[in-house]
Amino acid sequence: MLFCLGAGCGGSAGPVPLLWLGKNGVHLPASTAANVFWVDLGIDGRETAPVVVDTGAPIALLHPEAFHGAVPKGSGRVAAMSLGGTILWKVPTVGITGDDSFAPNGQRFGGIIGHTVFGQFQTSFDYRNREVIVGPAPLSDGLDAAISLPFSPRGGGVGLLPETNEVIEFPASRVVVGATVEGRPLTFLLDTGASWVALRSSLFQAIASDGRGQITDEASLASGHTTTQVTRLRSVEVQGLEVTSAVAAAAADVDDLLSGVSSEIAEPIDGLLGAAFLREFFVKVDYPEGRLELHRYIDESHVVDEYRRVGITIRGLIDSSGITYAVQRVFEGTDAARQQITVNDDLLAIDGQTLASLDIATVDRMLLGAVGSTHRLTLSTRTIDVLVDELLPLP
Amino acid sequence: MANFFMPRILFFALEWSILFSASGAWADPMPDAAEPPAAPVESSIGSAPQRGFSVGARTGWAIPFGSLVKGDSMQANFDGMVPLWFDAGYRLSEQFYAGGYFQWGFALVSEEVCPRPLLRCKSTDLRFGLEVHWHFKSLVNRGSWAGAFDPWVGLGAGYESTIIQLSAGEAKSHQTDEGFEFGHLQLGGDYAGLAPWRIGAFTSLAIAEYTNRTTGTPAGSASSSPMHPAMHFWLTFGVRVQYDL
Repeated sequence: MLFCLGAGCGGSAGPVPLLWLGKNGVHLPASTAANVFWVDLGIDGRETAPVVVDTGAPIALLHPEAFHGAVPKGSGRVAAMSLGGTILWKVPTVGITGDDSFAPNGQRFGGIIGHTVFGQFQTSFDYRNREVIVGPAPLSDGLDAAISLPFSPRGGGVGLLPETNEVIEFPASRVVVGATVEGRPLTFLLDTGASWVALRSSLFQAIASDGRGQITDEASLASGHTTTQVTRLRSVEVQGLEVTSAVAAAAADVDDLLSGVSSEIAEPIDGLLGAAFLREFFVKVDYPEGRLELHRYIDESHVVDEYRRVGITIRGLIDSSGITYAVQRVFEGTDAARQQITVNDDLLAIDGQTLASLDIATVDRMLLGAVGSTHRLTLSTRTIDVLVDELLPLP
Repeated sequence: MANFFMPRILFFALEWSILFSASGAWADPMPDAAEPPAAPVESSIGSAPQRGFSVGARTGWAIPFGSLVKGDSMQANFDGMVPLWFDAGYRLSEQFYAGGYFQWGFALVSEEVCPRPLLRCKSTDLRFGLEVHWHFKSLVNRGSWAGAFDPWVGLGAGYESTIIQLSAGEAKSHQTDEGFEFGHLQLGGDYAGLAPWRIGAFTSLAIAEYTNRTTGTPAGSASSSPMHPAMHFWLTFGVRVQYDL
């Protein structure tokens, strides 16, 4: 008896799973603004902030200021992390100073949670119902038969925290998926924290050299903000599951990120398989069993194309009276530009609905639509009907 | 009982000081020729025979040191522990006792890992194993210097299992860390003038390492070995009572 206890009685060596309590298979309501899952994360029952649930992150990278100091700076841990009705105990965290950015609901952005938080669970991402399910759960209705891909979490090791120069250990967490992009067999990292499919710049340029539409767009990485080139892919295919017209992006900072991941797993990674592909599927990442399941939604009406839109982007301004919206950017060559909408124009209503009570993700969606349709924009100076444009046309 | 024993503890410390500062006291166990020979001291000062079974109980306060596993200090997890310690063994001679011990301890979980009111936490610590005690006063002047006071040292080894139970509302989970107690060193002093009872005080330093962790969650039970186990220590101060059969 003594020897058996001491030897572990067949217990596995490796990262010890976190102790947790609550419901097994908790459904976390999420916002899917920017096509990533934003959920509310509670720390020690005291502070809550929205975070992104990211299969591309090995660790929980949190912004202490968003949690009013309940998360320690640098490498540390929190005693209790609440995700819906599930409480995880003694969760390792890395606290880094945020960039004062806000989540789509107007709260301070809390950071990202990764493998150290949910990597011991079967974790599912339901893009249609906007839920993250931690633990086993029955499948949603309206799904096609799935493909199932075995995986073994890759990578892991030690890394240096830039702010504190601390060396931290991080677990093997990378889920590597083979995919074919317009006939090219490529290797991707599964990344629910990526809005689009990310590609190495060289690959991106080779694909986009046929003259297809490209624009630049701002993107947030874990390491900060960057400017990306964005285009549209004709086809991305994983094990016979094809997604057409997926948006892809590339940038030098993304190249650095991909090189880092490639070094970590000792295999070249060509890109990040993000929401531009994943959102057409109920995605189940069964970490304990090492299996990735993709169930295609029969009804894909939740999938909207963010680059078929009125040719503007917006920004929200938060003050004591609430949120107001203004034009952040006007895309050249669009109907919005032709109608001389300009940056900083105040946007009060879309199609007659005032915007003051809406979050920015909802307002942004109101600008999307079928190419050639119109939206009625109420600016502070005038009301005009503006055409929806295709910003990323394929030749 | 506490009022009675505290002076004995102070006396005990004083005697230790004398023992180590009196040159030749250890080197020459024979009595000084100029002095009359010390009167033989009855073993254990009472009617209990030198050999026989003994049972005992102890309690006190234990202070944690070291780490549960690497990077997770004991003091971040526990404020301390109140042990209930039971001994049972055999007195092999006037000097030696061998037996077993079993300790159930109520550990106080630190708020650092148990944020209230979100969580409620309780913890118990089990230790069990074998020990030997050496009652050494007869080495000097055949024990006459100590009277009814009986100092002793002890060594032991065994196994330890620490359970932390968490609850939040109706939800409950637990974690058990266990591993070998490589050893413990004890130092004590008994008042043996109430034979067959002995009452006294002790301190103990236990050295152990948790090498297996079992978690019980709503998903079931899972066992694993920490990647980076670490040594931990319990430094215990307390009082004890022993009954010599």
